Amino acid sequence: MTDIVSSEQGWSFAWRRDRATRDEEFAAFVAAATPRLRRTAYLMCRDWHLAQDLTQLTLAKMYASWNRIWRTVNLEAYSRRVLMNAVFDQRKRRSDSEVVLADLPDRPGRPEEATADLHVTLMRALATLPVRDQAIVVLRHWEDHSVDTVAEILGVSTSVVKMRSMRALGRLRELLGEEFARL
Amino acid sequence: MDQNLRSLFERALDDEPVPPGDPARMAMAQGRRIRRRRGLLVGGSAAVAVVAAVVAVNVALGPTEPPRTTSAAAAAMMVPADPACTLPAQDRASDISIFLADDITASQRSGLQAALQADPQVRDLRYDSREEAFTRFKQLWADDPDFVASVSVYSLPESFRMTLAEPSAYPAFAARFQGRDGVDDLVGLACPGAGE
Repeated sequence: MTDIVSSEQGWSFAWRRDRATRDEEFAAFVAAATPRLRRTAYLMCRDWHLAQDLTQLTLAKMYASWNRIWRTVNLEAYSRRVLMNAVFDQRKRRSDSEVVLADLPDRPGRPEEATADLHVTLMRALATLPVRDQAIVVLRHWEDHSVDTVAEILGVSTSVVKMRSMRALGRLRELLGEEFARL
Repeated sequence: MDQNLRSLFERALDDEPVPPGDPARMAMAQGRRIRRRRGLLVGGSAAVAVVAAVVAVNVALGPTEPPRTTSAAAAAMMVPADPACTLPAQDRASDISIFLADDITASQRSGLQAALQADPQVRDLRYDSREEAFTRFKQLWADDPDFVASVSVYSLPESFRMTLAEPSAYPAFAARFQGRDGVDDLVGLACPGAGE
């Protein structure tokens, strides 16, 4: 095939094939990573619409840097870090412009058992923690990342992760009370 | 405790709606726009000229073409105001922009700043936050409010701006900082006579 194309066409063909491969790998990454990213984003912001926007922004930023990062960085950790930075940015901007209520709105007219409501209580309690502590709890106890990985994602030392994690869980236990211990 | 937390989180995620559209295609389109905007932020007077050129391309293509998808044509028109200036610079550069990665950590940022401050080639070091980049972006595109409205402050990168003591030191300088942790891209602008 190469003998019937000029060298310039050959170069252009190679370049296009290369880009096609990169785009294919990006699409595969998106397919594999999006559901988890979106759920993590939701646990951080408690708003599916915003979670969708933050996830989309994370993926777009990754694509903008894809030539640099594909096959060179740990995409799992990298994507979490970009997402969390987007969450922190968004939170900072929001707190600059309005008063944030930590409480979630109740969902009236939906009779639920006491234990069924516990996840609502948990989300409400989580929202009262400092945002970086929320990130530690979600990355550790929802995403199941190791202390080392969480430290890498958030750019802090492992001892900070351990200390803040312990403090955050203690606080959650306090807010959730006996119900939580029973579960 | 772990198991409890996990099952509670799972329940909190129960009302997940069906995700919209094709996330990969949307991310690629938005990602290309982010990449293009980075180019628009390079340099001061040069950026104004670039913007003028891009607008001219959009107008020339007329209403049938979506104006924000003319990247190839716009890139071809990206000529700095002074035709003697080169962007991106090759072997000499007077003005440097170092764009920071989206995943940069606070310690990487302060480490980079310290390294730049200690570098004998660096003059007039300035940090450009996302907000400052956004403000400048809004000024540059003041005549196109729809485009400004479509851009979020988060999609613009932070950067360090500086001039080089000796433009001929650009390749060695770029080699020192390109690819460093937390650096997304390093772009030089060369204008003859500047920084000599």
